Amino acid sequence: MTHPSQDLDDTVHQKTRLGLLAVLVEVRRADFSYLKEALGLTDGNLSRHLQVLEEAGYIETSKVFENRKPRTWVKATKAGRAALNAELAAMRALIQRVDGTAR
Amino acid sequence: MQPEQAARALRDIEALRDRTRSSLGNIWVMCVVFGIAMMGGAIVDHFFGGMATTGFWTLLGPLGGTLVASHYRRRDRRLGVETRVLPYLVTAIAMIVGTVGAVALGTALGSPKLAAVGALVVVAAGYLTFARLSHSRVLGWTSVGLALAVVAMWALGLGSSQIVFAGNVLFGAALLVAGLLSRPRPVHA
Repeated sequence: MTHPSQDLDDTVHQKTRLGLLAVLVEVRRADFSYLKEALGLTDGNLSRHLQVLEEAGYIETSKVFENRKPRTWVKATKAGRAALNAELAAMRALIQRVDGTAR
Repeated sequence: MQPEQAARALRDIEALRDRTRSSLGNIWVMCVVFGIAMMGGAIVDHFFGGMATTGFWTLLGPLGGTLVASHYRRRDRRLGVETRVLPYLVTAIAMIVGTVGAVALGTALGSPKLAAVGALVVVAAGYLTFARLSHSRVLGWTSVGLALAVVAMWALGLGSSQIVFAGNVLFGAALLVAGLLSRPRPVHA
């Protein structure tokens, strides 16, 4: 039996990316500004984390022009939702394992 | 990763999800609009009955739906976020079909009381589903309380017209209060 920490996904596990997926699974899609404000990030920081998640296939981004202004929409993919659920399950398993050992 | 870190991360994630849900306040406008409509409907039904009630809901149903949809469209544009609409739409349609079905069944069985209680329980079940969709404890408990209140009215031997009037006023007032209590708070990390 593997240790639950082996099930943690490095891409999702990072605090900011975990937060991004947690927000995105609650909505159909969110734009760049909303995510920036919700997580208190800078433009550069958010862009970098979105790029990592997009390369992993956990989110999809689409750039559109609305009232002549660019807007980037971000959406969690099915794989992203599954990855977040798996990450949360792995963390719960880790806690339960330690609780079980303590008893 | 240490278990304490995992526990803290889980708490942080749940808090962030809660803040996102409450900042979007999916249900509050819908509760306020349909709470007022239900109280208005009770008055129309009490004083004019029958066709007037049908006319009231034929007009107010789509009007209220359009008002609620337009509020959320404007809100989404302003906030830069889009909530999922389909589950809410499916629930609303199921509520209409269920309410009409309950009234038809009660009428067919010659029991106006069953029609009144059935329709109100369907509405309470619909709002319980909305509560589940929007993770609103306030609306969830309100729905359960309303369903129990309707059953209590039946058990107390109230007549069908009394159940319809008291039920609609009670539902309307409870939805209005639940909506006002569920107004969104600003989101910050």
